[in-house]
Amino acid sequence: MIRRLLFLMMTVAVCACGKAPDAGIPSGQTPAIAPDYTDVTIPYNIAPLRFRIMEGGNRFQAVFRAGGESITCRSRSGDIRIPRRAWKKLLEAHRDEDLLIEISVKQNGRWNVRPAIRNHIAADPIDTYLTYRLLEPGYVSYGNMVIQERNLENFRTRTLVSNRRELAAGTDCCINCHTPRNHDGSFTLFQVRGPLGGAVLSTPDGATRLNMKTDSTFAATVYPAWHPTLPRIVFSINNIGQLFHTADVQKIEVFDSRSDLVIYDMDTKTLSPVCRTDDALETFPVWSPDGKFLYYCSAAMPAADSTGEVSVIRDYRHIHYDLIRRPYDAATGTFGTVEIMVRASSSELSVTFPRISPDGRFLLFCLSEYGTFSIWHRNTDLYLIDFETQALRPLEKANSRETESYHTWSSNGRWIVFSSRRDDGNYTRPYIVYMDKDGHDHKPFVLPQRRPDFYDRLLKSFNIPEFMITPASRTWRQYDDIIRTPATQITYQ
Amino acid sequence: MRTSSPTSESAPIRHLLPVCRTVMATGILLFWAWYNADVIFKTQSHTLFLLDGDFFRDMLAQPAGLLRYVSRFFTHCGYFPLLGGLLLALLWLGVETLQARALHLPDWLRPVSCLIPAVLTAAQTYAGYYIYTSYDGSLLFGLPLGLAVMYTQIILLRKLTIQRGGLWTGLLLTTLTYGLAGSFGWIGGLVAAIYAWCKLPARRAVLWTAAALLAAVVLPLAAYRFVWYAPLHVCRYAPLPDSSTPEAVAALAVAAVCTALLAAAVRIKPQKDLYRLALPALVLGMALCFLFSFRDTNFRAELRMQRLLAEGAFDEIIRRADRLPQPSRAVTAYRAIALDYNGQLGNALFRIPYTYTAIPAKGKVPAEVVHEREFSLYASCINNCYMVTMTQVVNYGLRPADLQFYALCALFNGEDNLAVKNLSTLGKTIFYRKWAAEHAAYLSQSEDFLSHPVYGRIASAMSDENQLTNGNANVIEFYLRLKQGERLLFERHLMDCLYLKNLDAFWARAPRIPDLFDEIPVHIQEALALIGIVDGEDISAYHISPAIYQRVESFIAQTGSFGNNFEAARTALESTYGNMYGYYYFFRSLLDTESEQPEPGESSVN
Repeated sequence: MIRRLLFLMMTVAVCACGKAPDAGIPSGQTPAIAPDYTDVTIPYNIAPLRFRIMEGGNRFQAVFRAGGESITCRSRSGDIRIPRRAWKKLLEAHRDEDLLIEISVKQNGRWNVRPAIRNHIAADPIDTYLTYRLLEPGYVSYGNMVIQERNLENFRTRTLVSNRRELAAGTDCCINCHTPRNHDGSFTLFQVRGPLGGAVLSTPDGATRLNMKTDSTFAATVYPAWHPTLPRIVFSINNIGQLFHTADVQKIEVFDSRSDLVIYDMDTKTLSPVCRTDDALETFPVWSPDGKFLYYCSAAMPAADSTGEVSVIRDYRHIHYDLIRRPYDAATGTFGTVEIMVRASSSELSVTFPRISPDGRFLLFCLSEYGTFSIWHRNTDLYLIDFETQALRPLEKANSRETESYHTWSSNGRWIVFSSRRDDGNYTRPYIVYMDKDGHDHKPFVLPQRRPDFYDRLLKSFNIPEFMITPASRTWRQYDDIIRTPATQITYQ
Repeated sequence: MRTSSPTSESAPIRHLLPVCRTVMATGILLFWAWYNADVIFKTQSHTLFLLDGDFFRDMLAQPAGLLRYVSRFFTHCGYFPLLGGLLLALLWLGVETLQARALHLPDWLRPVSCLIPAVLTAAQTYAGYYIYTSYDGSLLFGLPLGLAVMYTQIILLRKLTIQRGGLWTGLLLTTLTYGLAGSFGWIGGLVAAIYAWCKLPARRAVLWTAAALLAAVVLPLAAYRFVWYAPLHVCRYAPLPDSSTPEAVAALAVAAVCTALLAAAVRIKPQKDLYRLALPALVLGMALCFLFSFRDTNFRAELRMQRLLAEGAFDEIIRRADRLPQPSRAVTAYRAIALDYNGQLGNALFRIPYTYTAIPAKGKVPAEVVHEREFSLYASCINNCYMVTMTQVVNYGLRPADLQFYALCALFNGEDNLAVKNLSTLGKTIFYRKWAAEHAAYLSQSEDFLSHPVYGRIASAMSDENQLTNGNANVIEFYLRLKQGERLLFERHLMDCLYLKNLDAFWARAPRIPDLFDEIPVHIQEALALIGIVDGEDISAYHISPAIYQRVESFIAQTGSFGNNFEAARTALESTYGNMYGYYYFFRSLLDTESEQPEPGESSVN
């Protein structure tokens, strides 16, 4: 009986595999696949680029070929799910070589071989971990958001922080800005809003929740910037408002009615002012890799009207941020004079989210028509400053017609991850792009997922992607406990 | 305690029970199939359910996930009245049979106990809807299923752990049912503890209570702390907000003390079986709830009208509303919507009783009705974002109705990529495939879309003037009115002006009336006549029926004859002029109170 069953199973298996396509001459166009993994440069340690062949057919085959080796995947549905181990072996053995994807589709009983898709396997690895926040792109409610950590070498994902009511003492709270120091998962920081609000700071020495709102500051801290070597963090303090367009290509308008910069000393647990101005809005701080300069964005407050009223809501389209930097003396803990790096306001443009490459040569930022929250401006693109050549240029291949925003450099400076709404204009997805040593961008590809249709079904946005070379040193339970413990009150000097 | 096994049943009972079961199951089936269609429609807003393995695995990853998956699946079966009825009948039969075999109830209790599964299934109908709080559509079937699981658990616990012993069996059962049924298992554990108190000597009862509480509370807590965070999700359904907070621990302690006290009270009369008291009381309560909801004609009419509104059967809504002797506010609001769609609002607003009081103050469209469908659509489309739905999704989970909403918003805003994404997901559901396929034809705001009776109307009303807003409904309403390019909207806008007694605004817009109406609606004629008579404005450009003009003239004259005796005028004129705008203007206030009444004879334009 068992033999009969085995025979039957083998027969069924052979029938299911069917006849492999003959090696014919490729014809037609390069097949459309989703996600678009064509002509891209990928790290050799990335998880398999699983995709769906967007053509009609009964059977599908994809052969991944690099050097003399290949992997063959067959499918009836068009979903190509590459086995992880074979993929890893193939890519590691063929760094800095091309990866060909030969796709064949069986239509009307005949196999059609398509021209091969050519990708390139970069010799530079990508950081192993990526953290991001998942949330509905509405910002009206925040009852169900998580900060997750994804292993880029496979598909493993773990939740670091969740704001589900069950996990936050039945309270509503917003969580945001999970930021590591120097891509190190043992130094992390994220913010919590609401009754259990504060900055949750995690270091190898311990973790604590800090109440960053003091009597001398008008709001809690928002955007952080770890100093690369010293136990200091610069924060922006923002009074953030949010309104909705009634009829516009943009949907949401987020603006600061007031913002300043402060620096937090982890040793003394004190906040000190960096910029405390009434006539300017300062935000998005970031340190240079050597810690000698602090970069940030600054905009002049709108002019008062005839009644003397200043309104950022009324003049939101006239708020333009420039890119500023100030030298920092680590010995005295003082900042030098302001130097304007990009005077975008003179062109009625706005600079946001500056990020400097680890080697200090490139500075990448978002450029949009106005305002601070470029992530909801459809015309936002990524621009690069090359400090060696003093050239300023857009990322030609990475930018799209939709929003590109919130970008992070990998620790080796060869990869960038950024949020893009290019797929549907509404949901941000993490796109990874290779930057060569001269700062030229290659075609980006979306973060690969276990299921090819993952992004079609996910109705949440990926927000604030950050690379890490080591996993976060704490689990969600530990973070949850930290959130529940009484906060340490910070003093202001 | 006097018990009897199934084999020792008396002859009448033995022969009667199968007949009762068959009749009851048939009754449930017929009731569901014949009468419950409106509830089915109402609860179409169940949580998203996809028929693929990934979705199944995602659901299983959650505690009580299997139950929720099955519940959602069964909820879909409810779309087919016969299938839904059959499932409910089978559920009833299963629980009843299990009960009969496990409990060995005395003969006199058998007929009563037959009702318990019936109560479980009754939770499915109007009574269920009364309990159902629109929190999660899967509760429609989840509620009776969860109750059934709980009830079965009680039976099995009694049979396996109390009669035959075995602490570990009890723990295992409770944990399993907790995993399946969430808080129902928790409640079941408590009930089992109470039951143990009733049935056992004191020392053993204490042990069993401790074991049951351990199983019901501590194990899930342990799972939360040491295994995986998700089990606590089920506490959404539990009476406790969060089992890991000090408040929750205190609440647990209180619950344990109450349990002990209750058990102690019951033990005063050890011969009394708790079953004899608690379960008939449960049956009675549920039956009363069911009967109450069943007798509420307005409630049933509201459910029916919601379906009719979606089907566009406006005449039928008006007809049904006319038949109701005392239509509720919600029902009248449906009628107002239907009248508006039919272009009859201007003739009926102050003629049909309750119609104008059904429309809330500030001239909004009837919010309680439109909120879920039309108004939300207006709001989202004009607001150019997904605020309304997004809030619901974040708080209550994604439903196909929300996805429909997303897709429509994307269609209105010309976001084809987004619309395709949403329609694609809807195409994978069981009951929205057709809808998704139909709406795929509306991409790129096709001619079909713009000529659609509802979508076209909304599309024409969308504002092209951008402004920042916090999503306030009044702002949206304002934009809706501002866009007066269509007759029906214009008529509604005029009605709002009349309703708000803003005759200045009404008069300012009056010049467009002759162009947009072949025959001016009655109430607009009345308002024009009022303005002409009281304020002396020139209304010769408007074709006003002589009969209406004379009636308004007569009303004004009679109002003046009462002098300052407001109450007397109001009472005396109501029967003759109560259905006229002038009467509303002088004698009714926006909120139907007497505090804002203008004095008779006062200038009509303010």
